[in-house]
Amino acid sequence: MATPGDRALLTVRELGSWLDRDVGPALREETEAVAHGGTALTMLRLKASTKDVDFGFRAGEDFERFVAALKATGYRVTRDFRPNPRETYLRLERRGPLVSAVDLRFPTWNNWRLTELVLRRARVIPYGQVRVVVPDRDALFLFKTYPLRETDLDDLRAILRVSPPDQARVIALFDEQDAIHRSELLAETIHEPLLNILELRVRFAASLRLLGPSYRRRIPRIARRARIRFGELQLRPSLTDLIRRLRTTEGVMTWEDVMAESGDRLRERLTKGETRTRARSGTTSTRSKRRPGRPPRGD
Amino acid sequence: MNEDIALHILSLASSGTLGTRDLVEATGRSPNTVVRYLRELEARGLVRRRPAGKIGAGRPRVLCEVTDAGVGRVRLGESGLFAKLDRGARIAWGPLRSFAFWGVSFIGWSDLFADRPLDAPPFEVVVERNPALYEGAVAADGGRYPSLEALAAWAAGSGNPRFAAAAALLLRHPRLDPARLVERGARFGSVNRLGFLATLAGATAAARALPRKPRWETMSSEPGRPDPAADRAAARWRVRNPIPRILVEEMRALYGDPG
Repeated sequence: MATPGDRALLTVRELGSWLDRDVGPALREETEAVAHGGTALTMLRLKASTKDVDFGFRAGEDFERFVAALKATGYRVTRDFRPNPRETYLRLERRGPLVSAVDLRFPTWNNWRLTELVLRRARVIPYGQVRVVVPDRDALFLFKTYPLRETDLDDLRAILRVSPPDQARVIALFDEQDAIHRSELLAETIHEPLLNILELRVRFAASLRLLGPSYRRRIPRIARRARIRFGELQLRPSLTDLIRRLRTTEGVMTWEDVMAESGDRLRERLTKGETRTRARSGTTSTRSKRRPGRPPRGD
Repeated sequence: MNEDIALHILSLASSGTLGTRDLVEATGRSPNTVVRYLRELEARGLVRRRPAGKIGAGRPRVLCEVTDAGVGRVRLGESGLFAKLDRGARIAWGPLRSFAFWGVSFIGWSDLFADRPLDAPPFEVVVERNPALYEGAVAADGGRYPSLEALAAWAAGSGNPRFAAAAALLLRHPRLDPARLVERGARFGSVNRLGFLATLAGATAAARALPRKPRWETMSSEPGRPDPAADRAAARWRVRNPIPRILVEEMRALYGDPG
């Protein structure tokens, strides 16, 4: 540990210097990294501080180059696992005064896909060989409605206090992600899209519930959409029960149990909705039908 | 040019990747004012404009980047503002700056502890009325930092899991005075939480010095994931909703041991 005065508060400027002078020279060519979580929020000055640096990647080569560059500058991998079948997560650490921990994920981040719509309002900042993509506030807000940790809920509340999101855009972004997973229900995939839909909708609704009424009132349209999307699932367990399960299992949720409790009707219903949507418009609109007069179960 | 407004804009620009529109929103000033100040700051060599790239169609943003000279001006201005605020309130550098000073660096922006609400842009003001935080502060960087013991005692009771984990590390610091820690812990009502953190961090000197209080203390607003080791220590120290041990272990892995 340093003695007083050895270390100064790191600002986004130092983060830029680290990318420019430390990581950049170890990269053979220009590499794109998408800032996520606390890093992106701090870069947009929507959050006061972050402990570690989070980057996601859209291209496998970028991910591999970035990992190699970090290793070349003294970082070592301390965590390497798959949060879900499609996603690789690496944590690299280096003891030192500047950036001590870097979390990298490819190709998704907590299941979120980096689509053109998500990145349309992003700013791209070159730091030497690194092109840092910082998504806009609305995308970051949506991305934070996933982990359900107290620190992430605090981040959501901070965004609502500092600069409330554009509700229409957050809803459009959520619907796009939901539609991507639903379109995969009909495709040949090695993963189970239904699990992703459950994760997405339940966590979205749970985050909005956990924000508390005073914060929820600031984004009524988003809160309503989250409630509707969860209700459409017609799950047997209540949202309260699911929140308890999700938070006590720290993300390692056995959705198969929930699906077993709710039966195969869920897949059938979501698949049918998707087929109908495709037939009707040829697009991937996410609007699914709930039978009129039948209240959503499970909440 | 009003120097306080200039400092606010400079400080914001130095702690984020912000464009003119962001600065207008963050300062609450009119677009005309912000643009006028940015022009002036650019002419003085304190700010430079930098075009950001864009994904997809549309005009790319222009970001305002603070130069080295601009950063020097921010630090000088912060010290000046500290001296000015010090005349009307009890203040110290805030938690982020103080943790960095004592060896645990977060990435963030300048903050300030104050014993009353202050309108003090560019600082993030953390109101702490307990005089125990300000007594025995260490003078440095044109201001004062809370003592190691006061910062740890405050952070243990802050309700912020990351600050609590950082406090656990401070409890292993070679300059920590256990007697003063006990005194500050008592004044912050966080003795049991400090004892719990000391146990998790393996800070034996601090753990031995801290007397366990009969009253239960709450560490976080929500119960964390079940963790037998942390739960045992929490039960022994009468702490509800303890932070998980992994948080402290991660901090130790990142920042190392004292010495």
